[in-house]
Amino acid sequence: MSRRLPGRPRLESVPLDATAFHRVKRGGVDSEWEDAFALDTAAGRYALADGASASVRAADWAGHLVEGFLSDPFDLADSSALAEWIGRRCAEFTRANPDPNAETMDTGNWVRLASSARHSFATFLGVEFGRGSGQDVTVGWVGVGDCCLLVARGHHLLWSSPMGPGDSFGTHPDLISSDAGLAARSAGRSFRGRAEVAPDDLVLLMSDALAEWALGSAGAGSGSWVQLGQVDDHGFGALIDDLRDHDRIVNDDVTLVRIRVGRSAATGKGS
Amino acid sequence: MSYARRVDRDHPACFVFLVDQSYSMTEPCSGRVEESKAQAVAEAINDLLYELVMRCVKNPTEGPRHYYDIAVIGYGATVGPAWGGNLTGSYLTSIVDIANSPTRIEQRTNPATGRSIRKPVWLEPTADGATPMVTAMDRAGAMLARWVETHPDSFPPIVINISDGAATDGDPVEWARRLESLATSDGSTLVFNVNISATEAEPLMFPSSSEALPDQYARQLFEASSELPPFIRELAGMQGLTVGPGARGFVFNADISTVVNFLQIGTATHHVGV
Repeated sequence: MSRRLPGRPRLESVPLDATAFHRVKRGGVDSEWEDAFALDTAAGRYALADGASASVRAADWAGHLVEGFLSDPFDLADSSALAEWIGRRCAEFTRANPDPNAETMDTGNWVRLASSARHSFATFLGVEFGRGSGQDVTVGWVGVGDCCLLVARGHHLLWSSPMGPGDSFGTHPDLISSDAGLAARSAGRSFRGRAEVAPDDLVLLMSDALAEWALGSAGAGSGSWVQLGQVDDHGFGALIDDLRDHDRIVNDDVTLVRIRVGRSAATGKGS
Repeated sequence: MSYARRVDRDHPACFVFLVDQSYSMTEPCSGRVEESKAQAVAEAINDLLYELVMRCVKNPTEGPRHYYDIAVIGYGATVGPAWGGNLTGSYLTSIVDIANSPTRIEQRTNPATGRSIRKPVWLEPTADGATPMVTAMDRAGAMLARWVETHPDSFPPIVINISDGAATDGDPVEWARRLESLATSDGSTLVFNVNISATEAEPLMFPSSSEALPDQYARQLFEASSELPPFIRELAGMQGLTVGPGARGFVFNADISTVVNFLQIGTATHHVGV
């Protein structure tokens, strides 16, 4: 799911060039892609979410989270603001998907009624560009789970969050639930930060399978950051096909949001 | 890399539950004097089937997707499929057919909340006869030999044997090894054993050795259990369990809550990830 919403013009002087690519897991069809991204370049806000496959309406919940990141901004540095934001997302999602009347459940309709009453889960990463005190360009981020933010400069990875090179991703990341009662708990498991970026830096939001490859010893590595910075949709598809053909990436939905910091306005020296 | 295959419709996973339905299962379950072991096990498996169906539903307006093939084989006075209703006599059954064929919807009261809840029922409690565990393993093996042939690249089958006693028809260790010899390109069949109990003694979950086990029957079931692959060790660790190197898929002296926990861990696949 992709949304480009009307932006707030506070980053007019920071040229950001953003593109997103995605591929559904092998064996699936496009409508079964359960990640979601949203881009608002005018406001410098970007989001990526990965719906948990084993939960119902995972794609809808992922889409709801990324859209909400653009339409309902909050202070990324404030954990309680995140909890309140998740609570608002849960309330809106529940209004759109009300609980059914389980009293009418019988052997013919029990799956529909029981699944309608269950909650949805997703990992999430939201990113916001801004100006530091010295007019340097900064990127702030907040997330829950293992969608990753990576910043590359030229041939080198500068840093990444929350996972680092060689980290084990595991199979059970922290998740944001659509259950409002769990909003504070989800927020309590969040990661966040803010750092300077420099002209031509490549800021990448990746869902877990792609990030695991990129940060792994057999991953993008030297030189491939340039490739990721230049790839078009066709090239991205070819790259993912090749990785899957050689079992170098887990067969999962794959999403990349690529943001290039413009040279003319960014003045920070990076960190 | 083994046990890494993600479950999808082209690569469904396979679970086989072997359920002791011998006469001793009429005894009360640990911590639930009003409930027999047969009732507790049937309820645990019904709850698990419910969860497995739910894992396969992407959207309430669609039916579940075919991510699992499942068999429930009972062994006691007879050995064979334990399903009732439309599934009577079926061995391996698609989760889609299972979802469509509960025998009834049961209404109960949630003791924690007092709210009425409704749950589908597939398996009814049964307890009669001896413990022909090996015959049940033999049936499972014949079934799984065909399944791995037709699903060569799927996550390998998982067999979960639930019993309160010892096999009366042979050595389950030898038959467990035969089951483990059935493999897909992603790994060998995993065999789990759950020894359920009528006592209040502390359960032992995923032990690494049989030294602490009190009798030859428990040691036999330990030997008949597969070594846990890393992803299950990781999951068990996340649930606060201490799982050492060489841990086996075995629970000794389990009360029903331990059985439920064990079943949830034992049926985890990478499909559960994001």
